[in-house]
Amino acid sequence: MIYIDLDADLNMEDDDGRNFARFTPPADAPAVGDVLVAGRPDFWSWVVIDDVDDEIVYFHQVSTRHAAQLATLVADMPRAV
Amino acid sequence: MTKQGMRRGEPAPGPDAVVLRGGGIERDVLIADAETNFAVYGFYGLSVWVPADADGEATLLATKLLKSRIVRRFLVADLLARGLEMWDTGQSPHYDLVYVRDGDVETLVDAVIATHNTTLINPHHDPDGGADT
Repeated sequence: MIYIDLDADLNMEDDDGRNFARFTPPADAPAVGDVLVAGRPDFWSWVVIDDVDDEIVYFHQVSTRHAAQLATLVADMPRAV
Repeated sequence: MTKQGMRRGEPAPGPDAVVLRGGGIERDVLIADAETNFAVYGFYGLSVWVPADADGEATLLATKLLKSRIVRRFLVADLLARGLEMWDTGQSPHYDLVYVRDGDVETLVDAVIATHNTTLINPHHDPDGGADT
């Protein structure tokens, strides 16, 4: 099961063809350039954050291959101390 | 702050035109989506895609809807019969479903859910893919 970072309707686009979504600041506020998984369990994508304006975040979809070139996609495993 | 969304001014799609929306149509989710549209553009709307023809439908399933495992398929006539309007917003072939007679978000969502539709399993589904333009 995919872990969704940013709940979003990936049908939704602005006049420039960018996807956008609302988020609840400040706890889960994304930053420009962040690479996240956005969408819903049956419609999701790796995305790159383009702009953050108040409570609206704008982003574009990328392939997993491209996302992997931009960021580490797998979180480190916790280690026993 | 809301944006001034522009209509493209295209002729309305015909009654037999297909309308596609990726993902499910759960009520609470659709209400949240319409409220997000209101926060940006100042009206309750739900995003859909209207392919020009069968080839356009296949193209949408392989591009805009590539990452949607399931796709809901409506007909324009069925949506209009529920009191919905189709606004040509964003970049073609994007449209917003809106309910003009009553600005209430729940009325919009209930009308969409009540409209006859079929569920497609997207044959092009590839959540890892994409053009990376």
